[in-house]
Amino acid sequence: MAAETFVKPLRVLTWPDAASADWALVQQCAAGDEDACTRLVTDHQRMVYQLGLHLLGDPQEAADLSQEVFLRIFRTLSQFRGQSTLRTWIYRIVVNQASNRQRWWRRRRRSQQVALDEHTAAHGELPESRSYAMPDQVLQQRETAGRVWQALDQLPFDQRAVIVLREIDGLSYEEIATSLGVAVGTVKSRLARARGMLREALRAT
Amino acid sequence: MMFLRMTCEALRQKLSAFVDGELPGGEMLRVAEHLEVCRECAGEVAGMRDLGDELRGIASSLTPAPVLDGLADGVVIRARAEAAQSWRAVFARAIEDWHWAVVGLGSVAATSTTLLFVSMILTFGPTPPSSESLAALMNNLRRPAGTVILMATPIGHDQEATLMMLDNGGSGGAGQGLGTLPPEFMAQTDRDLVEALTDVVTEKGRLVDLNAMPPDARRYAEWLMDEISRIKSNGSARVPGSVKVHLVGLVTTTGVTAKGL
Repeated sequence: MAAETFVKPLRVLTWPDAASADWALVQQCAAGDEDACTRLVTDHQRMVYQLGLHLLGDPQEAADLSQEVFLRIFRTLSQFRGQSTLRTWIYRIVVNQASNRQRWWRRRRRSQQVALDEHTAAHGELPESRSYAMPDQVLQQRETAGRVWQALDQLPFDQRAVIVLREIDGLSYEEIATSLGVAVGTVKSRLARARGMLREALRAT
Repeated sequence: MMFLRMTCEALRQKLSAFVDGELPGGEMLRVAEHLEVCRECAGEVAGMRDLGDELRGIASSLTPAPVLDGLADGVVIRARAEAAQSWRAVFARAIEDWHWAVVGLGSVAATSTTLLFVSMILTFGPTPPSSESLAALMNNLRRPAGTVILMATPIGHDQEATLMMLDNGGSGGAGQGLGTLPPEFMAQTDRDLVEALTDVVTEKGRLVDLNAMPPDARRYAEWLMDEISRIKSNGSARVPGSVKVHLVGLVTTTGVTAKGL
């Protein structure tokens, strides 16, 4: 007698579930549900802030950008049709807002820009370094971080956005293409160029 | 070696996508096989991966979470304030009080109707010449001023009142139109009457047969002869121009010029 195998069906969160959850959240926000609005912000604020920080390189700018992005989201909620995920849609808004902001920022505040090590000196140590690393390692990490950040800052915004979305946020090429409003082939070529320029810049320093 | 170099050149463009796992299955396999035998490309891939690791490491250590405290509340409050100031909110508040809406709509409708009416008049209506223009001045001078209506009875006559019309228009003065007066109000002495009769019955110094005269001229000539006879028989003449006026009126004329004429 063959032993029967019982497989208990598991509730798995599938893609349509996530999409419908996003859609429901958007609908609630559009209807003026403030709890839903708060939930939307808290669910995505870290993502928005981090992307803003990585694109602009300044915590204060990133915080201002975050607020602008969410206000923009609430103003344009009616335009969200669910053709992309809510996350991708938000990414797109962040990139657009950051692009607008950095254009102005680079013109007006280029001279006031500070290096990452100066910034961390002013705003506090890196959490990991403070907790576990030895002083010489901390110094090395800070130097490395400064070099990488400086090299990243020298990239054109399009290339910086592409490499941040890929390497830090881990978006697929298709998601990046949707977020930036470009073709997947463009993402591929921009990313290859960005990596080459970044490595070149790091080698030079 | 030549085959390897060419393969490197061809695959170099795909290494970035290979690192990201975004190449199709077959190409992934080919690149992976190439990396096993090509240290240069393998080093390139390793460098890309290190770069990604560095970026992620730095990024993860850069997030000061306290910055995000209160962000949601601030955003929701600002969004609520903006929504309260939006045109939809303003409109919603306006229609809460219907009479203001009705007044507003009525005002808009009245203004629109007036504007439409005035626009139609200005577009399709006649365009009178300006009263200050030379054309208007000439037009007014050319136009007859009007017609004087005079109801009078010659003194000494027991006739009924006679209606006379004096056309004072044209370019002449006020007295020029008197030529249209009936003869009984013209020359009043027998001498004048004889002279008038002479003028009527002679043409180039020769007498004209009454039968050959036009009816009006003949009636005038007959009337002159009757008057001369009456004056001769009565032995007196009336005071020239003595009439009893019953009514004087002026009918003015107004000219209207159509647009484009």
